[in-house]
Amino acid sequence: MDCAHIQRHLSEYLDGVLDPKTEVLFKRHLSHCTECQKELDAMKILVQDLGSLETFKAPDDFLEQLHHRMDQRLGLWKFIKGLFNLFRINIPLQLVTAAAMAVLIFAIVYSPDIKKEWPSRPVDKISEERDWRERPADGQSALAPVGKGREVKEFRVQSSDVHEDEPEKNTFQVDKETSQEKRAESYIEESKPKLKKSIQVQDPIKVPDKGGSQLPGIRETQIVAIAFHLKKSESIKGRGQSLKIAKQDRLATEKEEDGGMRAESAVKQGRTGLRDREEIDYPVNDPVNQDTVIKDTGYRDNENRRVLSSYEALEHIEDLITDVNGTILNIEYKQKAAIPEYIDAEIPGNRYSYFFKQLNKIGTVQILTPATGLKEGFPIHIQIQLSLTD
Amino acid sequence: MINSFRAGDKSAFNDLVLRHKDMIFNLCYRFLGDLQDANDTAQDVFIKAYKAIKRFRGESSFSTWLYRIAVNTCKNRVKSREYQSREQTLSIDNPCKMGNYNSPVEIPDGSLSAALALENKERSILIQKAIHTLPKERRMVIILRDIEGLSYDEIVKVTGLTLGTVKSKISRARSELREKLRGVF
Repeated sequence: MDCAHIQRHLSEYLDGVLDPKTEVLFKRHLSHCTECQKELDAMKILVQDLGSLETFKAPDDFLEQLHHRMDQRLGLWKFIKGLFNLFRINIPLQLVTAAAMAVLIFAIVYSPDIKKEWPSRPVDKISEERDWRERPADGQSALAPVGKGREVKEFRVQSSDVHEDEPEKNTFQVDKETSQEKRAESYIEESKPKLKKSIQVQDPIKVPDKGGSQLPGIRETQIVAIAFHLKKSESIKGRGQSLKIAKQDRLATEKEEDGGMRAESAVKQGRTGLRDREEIDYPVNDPVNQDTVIKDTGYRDNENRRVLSSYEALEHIEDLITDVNGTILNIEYKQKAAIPEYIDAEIPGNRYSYFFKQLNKIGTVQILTPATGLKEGFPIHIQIQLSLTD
Repeated sequence: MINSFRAGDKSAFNDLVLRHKDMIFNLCYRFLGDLQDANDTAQDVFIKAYKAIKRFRGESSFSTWLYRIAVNTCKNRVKSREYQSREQTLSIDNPCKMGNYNSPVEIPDGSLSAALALENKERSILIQKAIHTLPKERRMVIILRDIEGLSYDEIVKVTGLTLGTVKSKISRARSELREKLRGVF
């Protein structure tokens, strides 16, 4: 038995709590080891000093103080207890249960997780769009960026006709009579396969009903509202430089300017459609596209820096949505200014964070309705509001 | 007396308080290092005992049961925000507020007994300071063992620790105190 071991257990030896065998060994060691003996003596003095420390006595009025505090505390306790007793007598348990159930039902029905709203858009507009996507029994509508000033027109299609195997039954009724009706119809006819495809690719977006039940076979979709503010571009682009515009915008502009002839030819070349966004360079001094360029170059700030135009932003966002294997559901334009205002898209839930990161690089993003509990495999319906202010 | 107290006899409760108040007060003071805190905590201990007396089954002595309440109350007090903020504001030179009991050390006259009393008082202040620097568990077991004089078995009952842990903690607390007070002894 070495000194380290002895000194580690000196305290127990001193208190006599070692087993008799070990105690004998300790005694034998201590009888010839002066170092351990010194340690034992020092510990004895310490224990003695601790034991002889003055005992502090409670104040003389300790009992009075105690009763005073007890009266305060226990009096309050008795009062509360009495209140509960009172309730127990007067209010029947059934009534309390009914009240609790009512509160619970109210909380479930009006839970914010279930009732999601697009903050800056009227609710009836959203419901219209949802109705469109959910294909009402008597017909359905599709939104297409055609017509004067990129006005959103609605084309009603018989639901029974939207089948690729029966293309001859498809009949499109243009609600609004225009001077370019014929050309528009031609454009629509050309766009039919695309529209059909778009409708069929989109899964119906179901907003859970108030009870929160989900019909079997229908995917859970949550709506994320994003306000997107354009960032100022650091590079200055002068006159004569080219500007890339999404083709669909160009088509819409062309239809407006030359009566749809250019659009028709573009459609015939198979370059139509919302998802067909091959970039085209438009020279600024091109007289044909002069108006387009003027509209799409955005504006310059006080320091003469060009601000990213909403078309360019739209183009970036479209690319991004394609990157994440998403689908653009709808693009809404401001009627007077003819610039994109809202983008509705659906992206896979597992690409949401990547999408959000990339979106932040293009502009300033503000989430109005955040995504909650993203599930892999479930799509997210994203509503992006484009804002010109930086 | 305890049975009378359990039966709701208030005078029996008063007697029990008067009998155990110094013991509990001293434990609280040694653990918390402040007289006002010790007074408040000791009162809390008796209020808790008053409320919980019906749960006292008599398996251990009343004083052991009371010690157990005191230990838990002291630990809770140390955890309290009020106590911790007060501790932070204490100066390093004077970590223990001694109140009236520890007025500045003065020599009343030049006699040998007065010098001895002064030495003892200084010594006791230093020991209290050293105790206060120990971790909570070690501090509690050393107070129960060497100041309150409880046996190992009683400490096991009071703290709820195992015998081995109690032995180890007492041994380590003593070694630590020896190191801290090496120049004093």
